[in-house]
Amino acid sequence: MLEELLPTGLTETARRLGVEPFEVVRLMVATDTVSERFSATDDHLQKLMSFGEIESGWWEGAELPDDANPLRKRVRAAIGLLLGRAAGGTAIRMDNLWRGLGLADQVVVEEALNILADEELVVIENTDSGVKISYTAAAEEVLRELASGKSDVEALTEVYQG
Amino acid sequence: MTAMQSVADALEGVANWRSEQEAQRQAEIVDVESQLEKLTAQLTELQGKIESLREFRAKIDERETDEGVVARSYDAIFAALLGQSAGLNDRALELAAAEEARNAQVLATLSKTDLAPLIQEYNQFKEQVEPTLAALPESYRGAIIGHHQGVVGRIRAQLAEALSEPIKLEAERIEFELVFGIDAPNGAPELLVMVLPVPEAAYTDWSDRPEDLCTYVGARVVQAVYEASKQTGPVGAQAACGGHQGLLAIELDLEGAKPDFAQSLLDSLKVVLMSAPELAAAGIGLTARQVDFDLLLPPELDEEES
Repeated sequence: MLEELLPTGLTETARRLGVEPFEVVRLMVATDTVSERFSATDDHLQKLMSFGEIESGWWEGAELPDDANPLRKRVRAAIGLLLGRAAGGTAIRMDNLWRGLGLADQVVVEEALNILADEELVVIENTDSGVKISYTAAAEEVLRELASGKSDVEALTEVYQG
Repeated sequence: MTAMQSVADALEGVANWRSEQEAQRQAEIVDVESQLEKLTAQLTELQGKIESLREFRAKIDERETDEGVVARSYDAIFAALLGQSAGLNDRALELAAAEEARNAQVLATLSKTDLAPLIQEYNQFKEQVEPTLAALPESYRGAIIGHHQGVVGRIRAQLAEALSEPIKLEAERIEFELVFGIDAPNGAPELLVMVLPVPEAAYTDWSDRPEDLCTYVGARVVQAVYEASKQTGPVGAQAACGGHQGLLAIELDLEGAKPDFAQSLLDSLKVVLMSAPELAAAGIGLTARQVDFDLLLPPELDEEES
């Protein structure tokens, strides 16, 4: 039982933050807080989360739209989350949009958002705090139609096929 | 009396001589034409051979400068790094075994220190109290959990102190290498590619495997990449990591980075890798080698790009 009290390292920090290990390293370098074995106290974790604008739980209680295709259903819901969280041109941390989902859904949402960036409907940018995503006022209506299922983007077809 | 010849006979003799001369001339012309024809045919054949040899020579030149060196170098680099990754993995297993043994020893001796009452309390909580917590009123539950967290904190602190020094592995020091290339077709750095002697699973399966020396080699290199980016850009550097040929590969878009990024990276790698306690304790060294960018691309991709 005492094993669970042994000092933890990089992987445990990554799990607690909900990011992959090398993102932990990036955040620690950015905040000048690289620790031995990249471990983190609760305070340190809070600092990293705050700097990285890492949030979780966005999918808790989120309603999924009716859609026969489960992948499109997830993507439409993710676009809905994006519209709510990034309203008014706010850039949000991109992986917040899939944190907490199963691995397959994470991949689908990430792929779909990258395609929307290629289609110039969203803007993805690297910042010191992490990869961020936003959308322009001009794209809002198209994104709303995508989220509601009224229209679709041809380039997303491949994603929906799995 | 001297025999006399008529003029007609004399002229006939001349006509005969002329006929013989003409026949001889025609025979010589036929002979020379025949020789010319043969030599021309031989010359045409030789010119064909010369052309073929010139084409072959061009192919040899092309093979030596592109496919030969680039493809062989690519294969050689990855074969060497794959071999090194196996060696690193072996060392990681040795270190993990030593750490496990030390952890077990520290945990066993902990109950013989002045922490013994706290450990007994901790065990009692886990075995008897925790399963019943849900049935307790919230205020009781909060008080018990608060007290338990204090116990945990004190044990953790003691454990952390006892395990603060990295294990010094009694093993021969091994030197490993990482390679990197920077694409800068127009002078300014555009893309960094690094390949580490680390099995790709250390990154791709991070959530399903225990962290080990391979994890830390990857993490320290990534740390150096970001430290270099802080000095020379690019702003908001975001490395893309993944597997290539079974090895951990790192890519970084260098748009906006200063021209001296490569030197900054070498400096950062030196500082970070030399000061990483877990690498020193494991008895390993890691040095960076910059190579031509094309040597890190699969040959078919390299051909497409050129």
